[in-house]
Formats: sequence, structure tokens, C-alpha cells
Amino acid sequence: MSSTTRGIYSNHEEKVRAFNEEAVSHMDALYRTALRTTRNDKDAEDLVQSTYLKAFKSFHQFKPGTNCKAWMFRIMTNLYINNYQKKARMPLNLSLDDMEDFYLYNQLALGTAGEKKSNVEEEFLSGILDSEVKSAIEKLPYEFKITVILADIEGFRYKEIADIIGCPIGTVRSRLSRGRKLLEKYLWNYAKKRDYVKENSK
Amino acid sequence: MKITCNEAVKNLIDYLHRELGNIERKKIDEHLEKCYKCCDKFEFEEKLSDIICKQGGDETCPKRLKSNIIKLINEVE
Ligand SMILES: [Zn+2]
Repeated sequence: MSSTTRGIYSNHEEKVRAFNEEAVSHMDALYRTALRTTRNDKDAEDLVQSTYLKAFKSFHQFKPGTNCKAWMFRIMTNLYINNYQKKARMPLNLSLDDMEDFYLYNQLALGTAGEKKSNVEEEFLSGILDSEVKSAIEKLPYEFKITVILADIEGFRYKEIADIIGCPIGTVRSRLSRGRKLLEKYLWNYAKKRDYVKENSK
Repeated sequence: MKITCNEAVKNLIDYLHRELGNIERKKIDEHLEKCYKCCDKFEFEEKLSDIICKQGGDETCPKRLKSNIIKLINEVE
């Protein structure tokens, strides 16, 4: 173990200052991810707070100059798995149906048999509601959800995601791909429901 | 070397996340220039990625929580 790569702080104030500089700016990112995973404000707040306390206590293990955001996310995903996921642990038994090659685009193209109207995709995309995106993400099985969030919302690279959740890069890729298809399926169902309601209230 | 539509779509996820090497990426870009169908599809998926990114996590951490955490850290010994 090399001590030169670790953060060494001569006193408490110095450690607090270094921690504030490195870690506090990631609070929004951790909070919105906690919201999507725990699905409620209170649990999200508790999770973010425990993450920060844990991170501060282990801050001597953080190597200055490395990616602090990724380090914080690793702490939070571990805490989540240990403290929250246990309660709601569900086996990842998705039906074959969920795994079909499902892309919204194909579905939109199907709906307009023959000549595809050029604006059908734009129309679909602009009709998607914030609340639909959020609940579609929340509905994903945890393994897919966290991978999609880390890649598509937080902008982490495959390699970083593999380090954060502790899995091979190939697993990141396949979870992203399967997660995306499921997400599109949920969005498609929300849109159908929304249009159905609109049609019937005319 | 030319690639097929299937090969292009198989790399869609890696393409969207900018995880392809230069050569692979170039092959796809060349295909997209010539294939209207794939180009349309890739554009659609890119726009959807933007929507997921912007609308999937637009919340900010409550100020009260932020100050509470900072206070707690200061009190840790
Ligand atoms: Zn093509």
C-alpha cells in the first residue's frame, strides 16, 4: 500500500476543507440518483446523508486527483445494496417478452404502415412527459436502472460504471442495451395510455 | 469495409455512448451517410438519449439537506 497516493490531512479542518472542495459539488447528482433508486424523498435524503458521512470517514482512502464523483457513487450504490435493496430484493426474472428487440423507432414506423410521415418521431418525442421518463426509469429492475442512470444521466464511461457497480464492462454494455429496450417499452405504453385518455375525453 | 444495417444497429448502444473505437465509429458514420433508414433511427435514439438525460434527473438536492450534511461533517471527529 502506497501512502503517497492517499490524501493525508494534518488536521480536521484541513480534511473538512478538502472534502468540501471535492465532494460537496456532487450532491445534486447523488440526490437525483437516490430519488430514482429509492423512489421516495425521505429514503433518498437518508441515503445521501449516509453516503456523505461514510465518504467523509473514509476520505483518507480517496486518492486526490482521481474521480471523486465516481468514488462517491460507488459508496452510495454499495450502501443502497446493503441497506435498501435487501428489503425489496427481486430476482431478475424478466420474461422473454421483455427481451425482444424493442425500439420505439420500429414501433413508430410500424404504426404508419407504408409511407412514414416524417414528423411522427418528432411528435412522439416532444409528447413525452417528464413524469413518464422518471417513472419509466424507476420501473426498471435495479441492475438496469442504475446502469442507465450512471451512463445516460450522469455521463459516466463504461469503465467507470464497471468500477462503481463492480461488474465487467461487457455486463455494463448488455445491461444498458436491455435497460434501454425496456425503458422504451415503458415509454411506449405510457404514450399509448396518454393518447387513449386524450381520445376518450374529446 | 462496408457494414450492413444489422451490424450498424448492433453497435447502436456503444455508438450512442461514444464507446466505439475510431475505426468502428467511422464505419458506422459511413453507413449512416448512405443509409437513410439507419440514419433516421440513430438520430431518433440520440434525441431520446437527450430526453432521458434532461428529464430523467432534473431535481436538485434540498438546501436544508445540503446544509445539514455540511454541519454533520464538521461535527464528525
Ligand atoms: Zn442501414
